[in-house]
Amino acid sequence: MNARSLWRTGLAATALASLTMVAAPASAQQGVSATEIKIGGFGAITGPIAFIGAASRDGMQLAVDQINANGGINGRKLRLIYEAGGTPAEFQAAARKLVEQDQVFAVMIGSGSTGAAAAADYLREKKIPTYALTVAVPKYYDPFAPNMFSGTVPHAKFLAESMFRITTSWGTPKNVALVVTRLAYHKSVADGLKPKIEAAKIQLSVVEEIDSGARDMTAPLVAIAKAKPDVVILAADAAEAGFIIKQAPEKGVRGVKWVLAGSAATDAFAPIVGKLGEGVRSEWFFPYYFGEDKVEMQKFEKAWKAAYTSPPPQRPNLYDMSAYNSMMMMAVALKRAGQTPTWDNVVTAFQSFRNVRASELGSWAADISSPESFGPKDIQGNDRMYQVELKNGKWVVRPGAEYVFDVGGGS
Amino acid sequence: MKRDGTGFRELAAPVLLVWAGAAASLFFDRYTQYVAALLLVAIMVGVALVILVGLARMITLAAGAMMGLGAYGTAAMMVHLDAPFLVGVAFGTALGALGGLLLGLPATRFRGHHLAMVTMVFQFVVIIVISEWDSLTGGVEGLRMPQATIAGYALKADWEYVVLIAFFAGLSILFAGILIRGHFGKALKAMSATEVGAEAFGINVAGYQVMAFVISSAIIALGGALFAPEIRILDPDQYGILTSVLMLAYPIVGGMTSLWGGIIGGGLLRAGPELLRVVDEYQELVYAAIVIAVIVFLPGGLVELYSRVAAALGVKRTKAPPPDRPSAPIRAAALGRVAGTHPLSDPKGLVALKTAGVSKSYGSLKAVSAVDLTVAAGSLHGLIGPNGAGKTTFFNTISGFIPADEGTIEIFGRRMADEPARTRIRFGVARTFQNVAVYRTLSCLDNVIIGLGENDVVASLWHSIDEAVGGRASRGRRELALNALDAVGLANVADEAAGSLSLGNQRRVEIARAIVSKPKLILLDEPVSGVGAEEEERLKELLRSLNRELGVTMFVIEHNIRFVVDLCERLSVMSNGRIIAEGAPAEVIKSADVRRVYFGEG
Amino acid sequence: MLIDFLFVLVGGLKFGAIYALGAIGLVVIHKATKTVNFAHGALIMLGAYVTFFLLELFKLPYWAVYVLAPTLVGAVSAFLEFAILRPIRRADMFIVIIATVFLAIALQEAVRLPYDVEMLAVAAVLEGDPLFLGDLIITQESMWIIAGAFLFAILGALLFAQAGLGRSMRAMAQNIRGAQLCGYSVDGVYVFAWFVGGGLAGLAGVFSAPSLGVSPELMVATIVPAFVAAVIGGFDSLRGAILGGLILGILENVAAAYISAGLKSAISFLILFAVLMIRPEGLFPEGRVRKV
Repeated sequence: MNARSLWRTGLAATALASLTMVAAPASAQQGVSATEIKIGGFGAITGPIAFIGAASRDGMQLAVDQINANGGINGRKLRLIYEAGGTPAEFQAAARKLVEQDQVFAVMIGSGSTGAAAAADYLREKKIPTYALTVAVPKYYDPFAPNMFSGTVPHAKFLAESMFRITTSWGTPKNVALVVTRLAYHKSVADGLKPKIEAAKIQLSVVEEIDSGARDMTAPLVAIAKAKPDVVILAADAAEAGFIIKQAPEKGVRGVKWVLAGSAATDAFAPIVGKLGEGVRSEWFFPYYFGEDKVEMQKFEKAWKAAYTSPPPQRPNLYDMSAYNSMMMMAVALKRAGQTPTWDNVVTAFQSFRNVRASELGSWAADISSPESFGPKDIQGNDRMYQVELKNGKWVVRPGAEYVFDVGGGS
Repeated sequence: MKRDGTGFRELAAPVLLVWAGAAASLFFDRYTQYVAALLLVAIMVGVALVILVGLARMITLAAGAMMGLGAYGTAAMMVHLDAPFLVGVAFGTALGALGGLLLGLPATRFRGHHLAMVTMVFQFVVIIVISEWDSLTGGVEGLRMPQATIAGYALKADWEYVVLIAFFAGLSILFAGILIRGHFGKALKAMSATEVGAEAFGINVAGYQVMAFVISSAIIALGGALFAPEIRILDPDQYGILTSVLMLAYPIVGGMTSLWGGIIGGGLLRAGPELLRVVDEYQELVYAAIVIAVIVFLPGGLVELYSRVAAALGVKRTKAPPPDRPSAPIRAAALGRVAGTHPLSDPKGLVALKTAGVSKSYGSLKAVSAVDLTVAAGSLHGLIGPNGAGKTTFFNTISGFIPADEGTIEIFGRRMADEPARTRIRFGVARTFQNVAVYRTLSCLDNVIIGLGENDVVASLWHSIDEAVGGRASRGRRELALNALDAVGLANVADEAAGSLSLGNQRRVEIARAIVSKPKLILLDEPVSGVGAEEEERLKELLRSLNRELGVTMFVIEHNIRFVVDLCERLSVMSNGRIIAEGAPAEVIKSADVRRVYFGEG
Repeated sequence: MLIDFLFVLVGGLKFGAIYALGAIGLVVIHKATKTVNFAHGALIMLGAYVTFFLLELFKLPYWAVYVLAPTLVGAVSAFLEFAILRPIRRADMFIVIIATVFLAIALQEAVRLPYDVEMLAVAAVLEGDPLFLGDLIITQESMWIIAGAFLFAILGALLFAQAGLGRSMRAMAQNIRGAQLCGYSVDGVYVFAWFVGGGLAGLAGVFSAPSLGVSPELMVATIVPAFVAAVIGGFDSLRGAILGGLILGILENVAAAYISAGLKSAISFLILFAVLMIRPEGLFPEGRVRKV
């Protein structure tokens, strides 16, 4: 055997060895070891929507820490691996890194953007259990796949119905104005709202589009002042909605009722509008708002503040809440899947959810969200929306204003 | 003969390296493959921007828009017309080229931050159109790419895209390399060194700039089109201004003027965010800091780092440049070889240049006023005058850089209308510049090759290809240029950058460049300003022998009266925009008028 | 109708005044150092954050903010000139542009890291009752922004144009070597120009904070209009920058109100393009000799 053929044999052996190494874990599901289950997550942690992605990470990490402190899941600890993204291409890369390199068992999507929906395509084909925290864009749900679950934020059509209900919560208005930003989330909600308003024979006198990030609201406000609507619906984030309401009086818009998309009901809103915000109503995703004197909410906020001692302002936010609860849901599914969790039996476990709350894991877990249910054709966990109203500069959940929707698929 | 025949080998190296990298990724997981595909696209963008930003010196903030045109063009064809993937890609690429044309046409009027603004306008307008045109593009909610299929084969796995994109990236690198290293790139470098100097030798600066926009936009759009199926859902945001800015950094961080700069810049910068995943939310801050550090410490880009390291390790033999000898002798024999190619051997008796009533005013200032001047063919004719006499303005009207307000200019009996300066070369007029206008970044040889002409955009593309394959035409041109350099005594520094030579030698390069354009008339703008006495003597000899051996007419503006009087057969004197005296030099400078205006005597 | 138009006009003036203040700092830096500062928006953003800190955390009165914020941002700006732009002063223009662009990104992210929020709000300087002129309503905040921003913009322009500092900066920009021979310190003037330009950016930040909100996105939100305003004005003209800001603010609102809301973002680019194509020297160029 000369040197050359020796080298060749070595190469072949190495290739064979690396092949068997790749093939070996196929028997057990990836991401599950004797002591640990790896959960992947991704979202934007730099750039304009970093406050969403970072909160998604922190909320999930808090849940993971609590779960591990209370014995883990069926004897295994959870580990969260969180990757950054931004554009669709970056989210695609993040999803692949988690699944192919980090070999996570399941993926949590911490972004509601189009990019996240793009990455969802890959996860759908992979058939890996995937749970989206705050995705409303319809493309996430289409085409249907049983492994793609959605938590707090439902499909845009339900958000549209929920906002329509607030619009009529003061009595049926005669004349309504709609302002919508150029974000996919707001556009899809507005698209759902328009036919509902028309069907109810309410005049939709103004539809104004604004740039996401716009601050000078003169043009839409002058149009609104002219049309004199009873209710103005703002499919916008806190900043845009806040500046519209702040600038309204100086453009002659007075005495209207304001309805906000859920993404605007944040702590950023009230300081912008000041007193002008009193009585503004918004849809909301949870039974509680921050600072409310409710046991479960206090439990969550206390734990969060203990875990993150020097947080940025306006935290925890709704994305922390959503992330916390979503990780708890994932944990319940893993627990129900038993000692040998596989992608299939975790999907089946999710499908067995009927009004599941975080406290199924133990009384230490905070039940801050509405209970979640899934079915073989129902991948939407949350099936109700709430309303909040700004009172004395604080958002307060309106009692009895719950909207429970039928997500179909028979849960 | 360093470059002959080796062109393809040098071009093949980057292509093979990129292909090797792409092939290596196939042995790894899908994440690695996906990132490899991203990097391949970034490399395409990098080389495309080297052409546009590095060589044509056109800053662009619209690269993202071009990529978007490619991706959306592909998607729209597939979604709305059920076109096959590759047809969509071709359409997307063409759309990018069209975008380059649309942007390039107005862009040629601008430089610097104004150009940045114009391209930024294009960038934003494209994104606004994509966002608003819902029915075609899906608007802000995005457009799902259909399944890509090539000849019935559905492309699903990431590795298939690596192969596909690597193929086109290789072609793009090869194409860009041919252009960058070839005549096209030389013309771009020439015009970025001196636009007037380039125009004087028939380089249509605006034409080249538009072509640079078209080519680079097409390559960027091709990258966007090929990668579109891997993105799955196109949304306008990802092709926005931030993307453009990040991509503009590719050639600048990599190294602006070489193919490798684009490849390294594109590859490393696109890999940056993936490598920086470990620092979580510090990612963008660290990335920006690294880019700034590279810029501050390595203004030549990362390729400069390579050459520094290579030099420090002694890997790359830095051969000492041959001594820049200002006094190299002029080779009469070599001159003969150049002369052999010259069409006009006996021009005596003709009129080379005739102006009648040429005037030019700037506002109320009449710089040139009704100048009649005749330069006999084959003569050495000088023009002197005090500062502000209007010599340079007059000179610029003759060479076509400034249109005259009134009067006629005839060159060898041909009436010049308002033809731009770059067409003068076709009439047998070449010029040199007061502030030498050599193409500093090009070698002396390439400077002279530009002088050989055939510098229009399309011809330069063909020459580039011919050079890459070591074609006969290119070898012939090289031979000619070497002869001319030899003739002016610069054969020993043929491969040195012209900008690195002494002023006297740069003037010789200018003269060599002028000779090879086969001129009948050379306009020399202060040919000895700033050179030493010895070099002055050499240049005088050179001009004389050119006139004697080649019969070239010379029209010289000069401040150095001793030089002009010595050199010229006939001398005109200009003052306050008029010709005040003309005749044999020795006679003219004795005239009282001349002594008064020129020397302030009497 | 007329009243609508007046509302549109007041809105346009208010934001136009902020654009003008942003543009004028850009022009000061460009005039004196021939640097196109793409990090200017980041300096404005910094000014807004400083305003938030001083007002909400240190509870300082507004007048103190008007003094401290420009000083602090000016100092940061001068430091950037010293640390980053000085080493590349002689480098290619493209390198300088990319350096300032990445400086902007770095500043934005550096602020975002500890303050990763959607938006912070600060109170307006004057929160009294608005002024009613017939049907037209003008809040005290709007009045102060329109009057104050213009006042400061004009003061800045006068300072630059009249004081000896302006002269040395101009001398420098026209001929570095000549200025050196005349005894001006190039380094000193560059740092000073960045201090003044940065200070104006800081001031723009103070004015922006209540009307545009305090967030890292202020960087992008202010740099584009500041640039457009500067280009409309001729880029080297202080008077032009002020008028350019005004024109932009008003036209944006007129387009959004009377043509299409979608046109609001497009209009600034259309104006920019029109100005560049028809009068690339800007609408209000400084008298300068065209080079031949």
